[in-house]
Amino acid sequence: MARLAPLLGCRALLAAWLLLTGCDPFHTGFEDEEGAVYYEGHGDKPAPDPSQPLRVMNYNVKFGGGRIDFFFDCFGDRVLMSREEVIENLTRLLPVIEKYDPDVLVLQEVDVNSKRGAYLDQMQWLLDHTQLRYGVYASQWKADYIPSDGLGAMDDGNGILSKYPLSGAERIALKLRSEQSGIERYFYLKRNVLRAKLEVPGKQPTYVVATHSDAYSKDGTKRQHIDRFKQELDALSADGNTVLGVGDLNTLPPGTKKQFGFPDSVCKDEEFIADDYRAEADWLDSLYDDYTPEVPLDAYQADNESYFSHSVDKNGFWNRKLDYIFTNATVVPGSGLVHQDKAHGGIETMPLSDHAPVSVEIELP
Amino acid sequence: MRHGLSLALALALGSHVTAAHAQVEQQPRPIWSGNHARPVPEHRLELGLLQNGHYGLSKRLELALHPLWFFALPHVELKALAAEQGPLALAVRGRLAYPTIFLGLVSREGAGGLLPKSSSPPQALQIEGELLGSYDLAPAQTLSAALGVAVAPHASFTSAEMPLLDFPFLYPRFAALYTVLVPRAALYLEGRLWRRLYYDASALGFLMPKLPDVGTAWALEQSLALEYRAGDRVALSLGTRLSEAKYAYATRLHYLPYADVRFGF
Repeated sequence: MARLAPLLGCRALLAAWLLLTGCDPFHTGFEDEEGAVYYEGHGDKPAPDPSQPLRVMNYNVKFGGGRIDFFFDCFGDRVLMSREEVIENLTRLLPVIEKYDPDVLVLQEVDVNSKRGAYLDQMQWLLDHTQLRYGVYASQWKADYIPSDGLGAMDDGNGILSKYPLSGAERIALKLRSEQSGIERYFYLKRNVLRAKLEVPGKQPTYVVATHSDAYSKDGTKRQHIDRFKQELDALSADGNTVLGVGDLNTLPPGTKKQFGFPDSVCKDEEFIADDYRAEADWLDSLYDDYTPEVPLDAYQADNESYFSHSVDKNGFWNRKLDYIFTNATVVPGSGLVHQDKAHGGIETMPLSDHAPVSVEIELP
Repeated sequence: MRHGLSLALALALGSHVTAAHAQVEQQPRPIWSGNHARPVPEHRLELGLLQNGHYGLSKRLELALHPLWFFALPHVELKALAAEQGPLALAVRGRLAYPTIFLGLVSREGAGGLLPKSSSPPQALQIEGELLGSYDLAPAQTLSAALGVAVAPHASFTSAEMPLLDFPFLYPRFAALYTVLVPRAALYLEGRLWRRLYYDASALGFLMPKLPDVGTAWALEQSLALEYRAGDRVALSLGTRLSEAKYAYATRLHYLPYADVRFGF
C-alpha cells in the first residue's frame, strides 16, 4: 500500500526542474508495453513434477518491510530500512514459502533497487533462497530519486517466481490516475500487468498474468485496472491458453459483509484512505463469473473471515480480502487457502507483511 | 564520451586563438568573477540569482557567498591570488560551510523531503580548499585547472540518523560528511566568443571513497554556458549542467539546464 506523501511546499521547484530538464529527468517512465526483467536463481533446485497439480501462491510482501511501522500507514514514521532488517524480514517469509512449496509464486510490492530496502534485490534474494529458479519482474514505482519524505531511489513492482521456465514476459502499462497533479503523477506509482508464459512440459500453453491494482484512486482508475487485467485474461483465454490471473486487486469479493469503517485505517489524509468499498461491490463480478477463484464464492460468502488477507494494523488481525488467484483451468477442490495463521496454513503470517499469502492447486490441461 | 562534449565544443570555439597564445602578455584583470585565479577588482560587488555573490576585498582577495542561500546553508568562500606572472596566475580558494541547517530543512515530510523527517543531521562543518591555476591562452581566453579536497568534521551519526544524501548534484557536494575526504579536480575554459557573448565550459570530477551503501563512488560534472555581458553591470547566462555519478542503485546521468542573471556594481 505504497504512498507518496502530499506534494506541497516545493511543488514549484520540482515542477521547474521537470520543465527545465525535459520529459523524464528522474527516469520514472515506461512504455505502453515493454519487456519484463528476467531473473534466475542460484544453487541446486529439484526439478518440478509436471504430473502433479500446479501449486500457485500469491503474496504481497510489502517490500520486505515486515511489520515495521512505516509513515504511509500512519502507524509510525519509518521511511528507510537497514540491509539487516530487510534480510531478517525476507528470511521470516521463507518458512511460509518452503512449507507450501509453490511451483509459481506471484509477488506484489517486491523491491529490487530501492533506498528504503537498502538496495537489496529482493527478487534475486528470494530466488536464491527458495526452490524457485526462474523469475520475471515489472516495476510499478521507479525513480532515480523521489524527492519526497526522504524516499530517494525507488524500484518496486510485481514479480513472478517459478520452478518452470518463464518466457515472453511483458510489462503492460496500466492507466495513470487522473486526479493527481502532473508533478505528483510523475513521481507516483505506475501500475502494470505482468504477463509471462509458463513453460510446463506436456501441458497446453499456460500464462501467468499478475497485477496490483490502484489503492487510493477516486476517479475510477482502480476499476479500469481490474478491467484491463481481466481483458488480458480474456484475450489469452480466447486464444486457447490456460491462464492464471493473480494479484492484489485492492477490492473486496462480491457479497462481502463488511465493506467500510475498518478499524486499522487510521490515516486522516483523505488522499490515503482506502477503507470504503461500498461503491465497488460488483467490480469483481465478471472475474468471478468467467473464471474459477482460488476460494469458491459461496464458501467465501458463507465465511468471510477465514479468507481475509489484509490488515494494516500489526496488532489486529486480517480484516478484508484483497488478494486473489483466478484461472480458467480446474481448481483442485478445497485447495484454496489464505495462510492466515497456524489454523489456516500452519504459520502465523500476521507479523510478516500487511498481506497474507493466498494459494491454490490447479490441474493444468 | 559525453563528459567531454561541452569542453570539446568550447575548445573548438576557442581554437582560433591558439596560434597566438604563446605570445600572450599579461592581460588586464577580468571584470567578472569566474572559475579563474584572478579575483574581481577591489570593491567590485556582484550579485547573482543562482550564483554566489562576489566582492573584491582587495586586489588579491575575493569574498563569495550567496546572500539568500546563506540563511539555509551558511557559507563563505575566499579566493586569494597567490602569484601572478604574465599569462599565469595561481590562487588558493577556500570555502567554509555549516551544512546542518540545510540538512535539517530537507529532512521533512512531503515534497522537498530529500531525507526522512526522522533524520537527525549532526553538527558539522564542511571545509573545502583548492589550488586554482589559470593561463591566458589569448586575450579574453583563459584556461584554468583546480585540485582540491573537501573534509567535513562532524559529530558522530549513524546511517539511520542521517542517510546518505544522494540527490543528483548535491550528492558529491555533501559526500564529505559520509567519508574522510573528497578529492576533486576541475578544468575550466572561459572567454569571449563574439563581441559581448562569452562562453564558460567546465569539467569537474569528484572521488567519494567508502560511502555507505555505495562503496567508493565518483561523480563527473560538466557545464557549458553562454553569457551575454552588457558591459560590466549586467550579464545574462544560459547553460546546462550534466552530472554522471555512481549511486548505490546504478550509474546515472542527470542534467539541469539553467538561466541566470548577475549584476555588477
